[in-house]
Amino acid sequence: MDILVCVKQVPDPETKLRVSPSGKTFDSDGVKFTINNTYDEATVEEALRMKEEFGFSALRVISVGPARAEEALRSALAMGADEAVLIETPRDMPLDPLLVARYLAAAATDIPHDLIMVGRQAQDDEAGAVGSALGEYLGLPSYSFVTELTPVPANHLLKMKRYVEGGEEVFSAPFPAVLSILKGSKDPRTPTLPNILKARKKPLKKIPVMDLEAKVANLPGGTRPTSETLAFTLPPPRAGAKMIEFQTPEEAADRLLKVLKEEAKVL
Amino acid sequence: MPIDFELSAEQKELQELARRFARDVMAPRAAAADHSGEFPEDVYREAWKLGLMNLNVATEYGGSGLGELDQCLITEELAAACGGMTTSISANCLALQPINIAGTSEQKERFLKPFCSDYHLASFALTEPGGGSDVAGMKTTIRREGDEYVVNGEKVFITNAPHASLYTLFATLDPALRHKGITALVVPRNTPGITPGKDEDKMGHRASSTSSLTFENVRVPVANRLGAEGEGFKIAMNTLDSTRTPIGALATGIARAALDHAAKYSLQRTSFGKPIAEHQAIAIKLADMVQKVDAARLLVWRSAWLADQGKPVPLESSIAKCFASDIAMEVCNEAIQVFGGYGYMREYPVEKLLRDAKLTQIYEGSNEIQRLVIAKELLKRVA
Amino acid sequence: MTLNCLVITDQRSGVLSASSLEAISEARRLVVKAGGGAVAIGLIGSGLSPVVEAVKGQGVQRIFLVDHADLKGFSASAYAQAAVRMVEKLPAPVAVLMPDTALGRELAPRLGARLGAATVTAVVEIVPSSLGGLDVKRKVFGGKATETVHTPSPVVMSLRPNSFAIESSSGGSPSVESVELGELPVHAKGLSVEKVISTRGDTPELTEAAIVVSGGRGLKAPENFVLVENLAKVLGAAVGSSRAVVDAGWRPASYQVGQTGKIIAPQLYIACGISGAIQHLVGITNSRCIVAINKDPAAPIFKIADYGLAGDALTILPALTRLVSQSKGLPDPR
Ligand SMILES: Cc1cc2nc3c(=O)[nH]c(=O)nc-3n(C[C@H](O)[C@H](O)[C@H](O)COP(=O)(O)OP(=O)(O)OC[C@H]3O[C@@H](n4cnc5c(N)ncnc54)[C@H](O)[C@@H]3O)c2cc1C
Ligand SMILES: Cc1cc2nc3c(=O)[nH]c(=O)nc-3n(C[C@H](O)[C@H](O)[C@H](O)COP(=O)(O)OP(=O)(O)OC[C@H]3O[C@@H](n4cnc5c(N)ncnc54)[C@H](O)[C@@H]3O)c2cc1C
Repeated sequence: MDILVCVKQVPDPETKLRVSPSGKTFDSDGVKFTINNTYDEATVEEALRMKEEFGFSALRVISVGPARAEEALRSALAMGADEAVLIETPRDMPLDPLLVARYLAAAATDIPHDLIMVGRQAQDDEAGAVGSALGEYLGLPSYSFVTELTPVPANHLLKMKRYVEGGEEVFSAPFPAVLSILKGSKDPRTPTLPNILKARKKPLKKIPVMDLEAKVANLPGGTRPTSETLAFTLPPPRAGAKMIEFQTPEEAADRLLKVLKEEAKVL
Repeated sequence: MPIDFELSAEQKELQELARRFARDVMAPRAAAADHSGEFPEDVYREAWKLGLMNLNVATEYGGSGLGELDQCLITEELAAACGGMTTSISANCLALQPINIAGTSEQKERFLKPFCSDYHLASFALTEPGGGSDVAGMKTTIRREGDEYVVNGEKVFITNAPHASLYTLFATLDPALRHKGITALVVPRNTPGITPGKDEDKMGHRASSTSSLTFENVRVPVANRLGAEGEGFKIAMNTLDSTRTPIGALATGIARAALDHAAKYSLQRTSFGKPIAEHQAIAIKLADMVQKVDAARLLVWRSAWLADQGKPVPLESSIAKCFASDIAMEVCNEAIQVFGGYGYMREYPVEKLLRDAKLTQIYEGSNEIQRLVIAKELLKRVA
Repeated sequence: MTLNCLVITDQRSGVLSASSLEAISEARRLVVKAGGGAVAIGLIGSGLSPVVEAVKGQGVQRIFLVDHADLKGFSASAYAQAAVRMVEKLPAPVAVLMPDTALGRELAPRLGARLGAATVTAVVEIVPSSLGGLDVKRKVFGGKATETVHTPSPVVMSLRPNSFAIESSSGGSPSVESVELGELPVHAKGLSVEKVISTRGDTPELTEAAIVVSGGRGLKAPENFVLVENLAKVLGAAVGSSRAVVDAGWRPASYQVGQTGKIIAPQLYIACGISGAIQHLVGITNSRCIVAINKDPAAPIFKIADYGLAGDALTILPALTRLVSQSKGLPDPR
C-alpha cells in the first residue's frame, strides 16, 4: 500500500511582495522560497504517521515546478519520505491549479498510489483546487478538509473527520482516494541534520513536462491553462483611522454606532 | 569555474534547518537566559537531537562529518539568535577536535561514538589562570606512574566545564620544557580529583557556562593520551586553526542580527516627521554596517572553503576571526546608536548583542594574538 | 452579450447558507451587467423540498433539482455529476457560481475539471469583460495581494463568503425542474455521514461572520474578555482574539486571528485592546471596515483602521453593548 503526497514550494511568507515587470504575477527575483508549503508539511507528517502506525509501505512525494522545487522535495525526503518525483517546468511556464492537477494525474498513473494526500491549499495562490481536481482526473473519490484520519487497511476504508462550517462531519469512505488535509494530528517534525544528509541519497526522479504532454492533452482542459492571469496588484496603503472624539464612554459608543450606520453602512 | 559563491542545495537545507531551530527554539529563550544566566540545557539537548552538535565528528563514528563551510553556515544562523547558546552548542566541536586530529581509531571509537548516540557535553581545557595567550607557559603538570598519568593544576574559563562528561586536557610534563612538554589527555569527568569551580558571572554569553577546573592527583590511563608526549601544543594549535573560522561565523551571526534589528527599527521609528532611516546619518550607518557584515562573511567563507580543500589556513582563519569579531563590535555598537535610548535598555535586543560580540574578540586566541599571527605570516611571505 | 448563471447552493447543514444567498444575488447582478440571460439555482442533495421553497422567492428564472438518497452525504464526485447535468441544460455562455464553503471549495475544482472549464476559487469580485468572458478577482498571499484572472466560458467559481452583497429580490416564480442524476460510480454512491460534531456556539463561525469583535492583551485580565463576548452577542458577531490572548490561555487557539490563526474578511472588524502587530494585521486587512479601540493613540492598529477610538476598552465596550442592545430591544447581557 503506497502513499503519494503532492507538495509545492512557495515563497517565504515573510517575503516582501513586489509586482513583476509583466504586472501579472509577483516578482520572484531575489525572493527566498521556503522549503515547503506549511500545509504540505503537515500533510507529509500525517502521511508518515500512516506509514508508521497503519502499515502503509512506501511514501512518495511529487511536485510540479521549476528546478528549484527540488528543494521542497528534498525537505520532504529529509522528513522521511522514501522517493520523490519532480515534474520539471520551465521557469515561467504559465500554470493554473487545474493544469497542475492534470500534470500530477498524468505522472501519478505510473506511480503506485493507494492514498494521495495534498495540503488544504498553497500559501501563495491559496486556490486549494488541486486535490479534488486530481481526484476527478484519476477517477478517484476526493475528501477535503480532513481533520482526522484513521485508515482500516484491511477493508480499504478510511474513518475520517472533515471540517464543515460550524463543525466536523464524522464519516467513513473507501480508498484509493485523494485527501486534502486541513490539519494533521501532530506538528510536522523538523528534519534532523543526519536525515537531511541521507535525503541526498534517496531517489529523486525528474520528469520534464514535455514527457507528460501527450497524456495531459487527453484530459479535459488539455495542456494549456483554462484561465489567464491579467494582473497582480498590491493594495494601496490605508490612509489611517478617522479618530472619533469623545468625553465619556457613552458618547464614544453613540458616535461610533452612528458613523458605522450612516457613513460606513456596515450595521 | 574557479570561484562559486552559490551554496549547494544541501547547504541551503542545513542553513534552513539551523535558521528554523534558531528562530523557533533558541530565539524565544535568548533574552530570558541572558537575564537570568541560566544554562538552558533543554535547548542544547534539542540541538543535539536535530544533529546540530558535534558537526565535525566523522560519519564512521556516527557524526555528520561536515566540512568547515557547512559548520560556518550553521554557526552563523545559530549565533544570530543567541551567541551564548551557540558557544555552548559548538563547544563540543572544539573539545572533540583534538580527538579527531590525533586520536587513534580505538580512541575515536571509545570517545567520539557516545557523543553521537547520546547527548553529552565536552570541554576543551587549555587556558590557565596564569595566562591564556601564552599557551606554552602553562603550569598544570602531568607525571607518569606506570600505566597512568597523575594530573595536578588549574584551568580557567572552561566552557561547559560543570556540565561536561569529558575533557580534552592540555598539561605539561615540565613547565620548563615550554611547548615541548605539553601533552594532550582525554579525561572523563567522573575521574576522582576533578572539581569544577563556580559558574562565572559574565558580561555576555550568559546562556553559556564558564568555570574553572581543578585537578588534584587525577589519575588518567596512558591509553587516554592523544598523540605522543610533547605533541600537545601542536594538537592544540591545529585544533584552534580549525575552530577559529567558525568563531568568525559566530561573530558574523551576531553582527547580522544587530544589522537586521537596526534596519527594521529605522523604518518604524520616526523623528522630525519621517522614519529615521530617511535621515542620511542613519542610512549611512546602515550602509556601513552592511558592508562590514558582508565582508566578514566572505572572509569566513574563504577561509572555510580553503580548509575544506585541505589547505592550511593559519593566516586566512586569523583574518576571518579577527575581522569578523572586530566588525561585530562596531556593528552592534552602531545598532545601539540607531535604537537610541531604547537600544540602551535591556528590554531591547541590541545591547545583549554588543555584550555577546565582545567575547569573540577575546576567546579562541585574542585579536592581538591573531594580529601577531597575521603579521608574522605576511612577513614570512615577503621575506 | 448574455450570460447564463447556474448557482449551486450549499445547504449541507439543512438550511441554505448565507453565502449561498450571496452567490444568488451576485448571479442576478452579473446577468444584468452582462446584458441579459437567465439565473438558475441548482439544488443538490437529499430531502430538499424545504430548500426549494426557500429559494423560490429569490428572483431567478429556473430551479434545477437533483434530490436523491445517494446525495445525502457530500461526495464531490457525485455532486459534480449532478451539477454537470444541470450545466448541460443551460445555453452557452455559462458561469457556475457557488459559495466558497468547504463544499464549494471541493466541488468547484472537481466540476471544473470534469467540464474542462476555467475554475477560480475564493473569488471576491466578478466583472463581465468587454472581450467576453469574465474578469475575476481573488486574494492571494494571505490577502496581501489581489490576482485578476480572465476566464472564458464555461467557468466555475466559488465565491468567498462575505464578499458579495445580499440583495433581497422581487420574488418571481421559477420553474422547478427535476434533473436526472444518472448512474453514479460505486465510490460516489451514498457517502454516509455518521454524525456531525458541532463546534458552533451561539455565535457565528469566525471565518463566515459578517461582524467580528476581537480582544487583545489590552483587556488586561481573562475575566474582562466577556466584555468582548457581550458586545459580539448583541451584534450577532463572532469573537476573535490576538495571539497574546491565546498564548496567555484566556481563550483557545481557535479564536486567534492573524498570520498563524484565521484570515478573515468580515464587513466589520472591531479590535479592542489589540496593538496591531503585523502578524495580526495580515489576518484582517481584507475586512471592509475596521474599528480600533485602544488606549494608546499611537498604536499601529490605528494606521490601518477606518475608525479609531483612543480610549479605555474596559469602559467603552460595556457602553457600546448597552447601546446596541437598547437599539435592538434586547436585554443588556450583563
Ligand atoms: C567566556 C569565555 C569562554 C572561554 N572558553 C574557553 C574554553 O572553553 N577553553 C579554554 O581553554 N579557554 C577558554 N577561554 C579562555 C580564552 O581563550 C582566553 O581568555 C584567551 O585566550 C585570552 O587569555 P587570557 O584571558 O589569559 O588573557 P591574557 O593572555 O592574559 O591576555 C591579556 C591581554 O594581553 C594581550 N596579549 C597577551 N599576549 C600578547 C602578546 N604577545 N602580544 C600582544 N598582546 C598580547 C591579550 O590579547 C589580551 O588583550 C574562554 C574565555 C572566556 C572569556
Ligand atoms: C511567528 C508569529 C506568528 C504570529 N501570529 C500571530 C497571529 O496570527 N495573530 C496575532 O494576533 N498575533 C500573532 N503573533 C503575535 C504578534 O506579534 C503580537 O505579539 C500579538 O498580536 C500582540 O497581541 P495584542 O495586540 O493583544 O497585545 P499587545 O501588543 O500587548 O497590545 C495590547 C494593546 O492594548 C492596548 N491597551 C492596553 N490597555 C488598554 C485598555 N484598557 N483599553 C484599550 N486598549 C488598551 C495597548 O495600548 C496595546 O496597544 C505572531 C507572532 C509571531 C512571532
